[in-house]
Amino acid sequence: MGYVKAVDGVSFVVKKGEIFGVVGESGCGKTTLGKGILRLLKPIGGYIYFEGKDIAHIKGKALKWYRRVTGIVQQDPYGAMPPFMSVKTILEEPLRIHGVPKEERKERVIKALEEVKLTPPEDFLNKYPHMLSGGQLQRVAIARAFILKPKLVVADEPVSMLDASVRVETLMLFKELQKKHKVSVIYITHDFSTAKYFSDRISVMYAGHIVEIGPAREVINNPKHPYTTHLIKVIPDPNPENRFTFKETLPGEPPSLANPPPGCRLSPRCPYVMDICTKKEPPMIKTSRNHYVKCWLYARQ
Amino acid sequence: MDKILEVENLYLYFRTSRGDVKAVDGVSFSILRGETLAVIGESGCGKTSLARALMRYLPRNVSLYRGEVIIDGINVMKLSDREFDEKIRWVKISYVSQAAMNSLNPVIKVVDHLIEPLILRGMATKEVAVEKAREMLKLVGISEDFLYRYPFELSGGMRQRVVIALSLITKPNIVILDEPTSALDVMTQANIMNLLKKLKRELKLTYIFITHDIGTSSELADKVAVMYAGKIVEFGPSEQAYVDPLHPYSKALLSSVPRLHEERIPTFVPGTPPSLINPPKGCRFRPRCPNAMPICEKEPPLIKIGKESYVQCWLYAEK
Repeated sequence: MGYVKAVDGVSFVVKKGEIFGVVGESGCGKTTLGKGILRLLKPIGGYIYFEGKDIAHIKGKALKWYRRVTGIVQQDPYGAMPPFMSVKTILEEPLRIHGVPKEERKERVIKALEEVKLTPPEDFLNKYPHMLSGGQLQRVAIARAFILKPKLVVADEPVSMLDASVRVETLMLFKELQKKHKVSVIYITHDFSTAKYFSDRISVMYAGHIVEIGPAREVINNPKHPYTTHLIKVIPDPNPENRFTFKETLPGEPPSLANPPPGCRLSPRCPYVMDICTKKEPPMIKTSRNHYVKCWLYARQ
Repeated sequence: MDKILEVENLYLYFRTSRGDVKAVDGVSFSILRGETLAVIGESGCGKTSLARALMRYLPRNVSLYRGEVIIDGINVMKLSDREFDEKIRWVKISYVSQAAMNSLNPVIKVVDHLIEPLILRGMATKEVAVEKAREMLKLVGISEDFLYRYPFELSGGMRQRVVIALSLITKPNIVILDEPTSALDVMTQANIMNLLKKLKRELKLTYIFITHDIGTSSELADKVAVMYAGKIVEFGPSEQAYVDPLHPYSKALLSSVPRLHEERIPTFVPGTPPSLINPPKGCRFRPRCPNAMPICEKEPPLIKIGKESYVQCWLYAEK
């Protein structure tokens, strides 16, 4: 037996009012990262500074305060909502837990529903989760995440269960709220194309490491890490030409996180692998303003 | 090229306590041999029901199953269930279902999955069938060492390859792919699409590719059928469908796709698809359509545009 190193020595900064995208394939550690930041999991090492205060080791009252200033939106809205609670009860619960007086609660619940465009709110207050569509329920989840006026919201694949046509609508609504309340958002997704429109900066995760960080469009239009370049190349936009060409993919599959390869974790699959890649873990290297990549190809000789 | 599949006025309704669900409601199209048809649309528009109607995989609560389906020259709607099973299902047309990789029985070895359709129909002896299974596994890019493994010993991508091998083992003409990659990771998805393209060329297969992922659909599609609320509202070559679609719904659907390699702000289709129990009268897209006119309360006819495109919309009717 050993440890699954789901998030293995990751460092980054999220700015105030910024949407920070975390993109990666399943099993790369992105959800674990989100849960660690929200302190739903306790990191075994390292620090998480929130407004200058280390929250990696807080408990009790301090943790309750941290719960109030953070919010979460999960992938499956049906799984994230208690099926026996009405929308009103669901939205009221965080307010009740954090001591908002009763007279104020109803007003705030109604306002929250209006903000996510579930109008008229009276029509939704007494509905139960199964009576709403996936898109509507995800908006309730967004309203819940914002109802305590948090400073940071972690959105873990908030639209990947929704129909393609509802995804854009939901993300736009999310962004509107984020701008209005100047909230920082960590947007966790496997989908580069929504990350492009929704995030200010993007980080790419592979096998528990962040391998690239940069401004969203810069990472997509000018990717540096071999993993990022290949991932972006294989994602198709609708185009009748696609059917005539084959995609250039990486061989093999991501490694087990219980026993990752030494050195760079992409080295067994990387077409540019060098001697050093299998021996030493690459450092984070700055390639241009705000653009960093964890790859030996960019190290100065 | 000849027509391998012709569908005329196909209906499939399901009985529920609230009324009949009109999942496939008068659908007509045809596919040429070796061509791939992508069927795209939002969830609940009847895509999977169309596949089930073609495969005759029907649940007990079917209230209407009618129409004409001609597969490789055989009018299959006239066949009994037994004849359909002997002559059509898995012989002429096979099916890779949604989340197919989870449909393999965990206690049955890969080889026994693969030989079953051959043995069941008496198409081969066991030795020949095992040999075919070995070949087929190699064809989909899996080492023959995995022949005697159990499904849980394979990764998701490999299991999906096994299911594709299973759909091809009887050498059918048509393969229905129902969201074959939507449960897979991006890179694995690209590998599977490469494989499907290779198989299409080498075996001259005809695919019906059902998906809500429009970008991925363009990886295979020669023709595209856009479904909305149980009907095909547009049918035509991919050069039209992905570049300059005709139906207002197809246009809205295409522009809702976030583009990775282009700068184009995606837009959304306001509203939600209608209930298939009580769909709106006339054109079913009317309540959401930006171009709705009074005449749209009447059911629009199927209008031919150019050589190969069809659209069901009053905008294209001659005045």
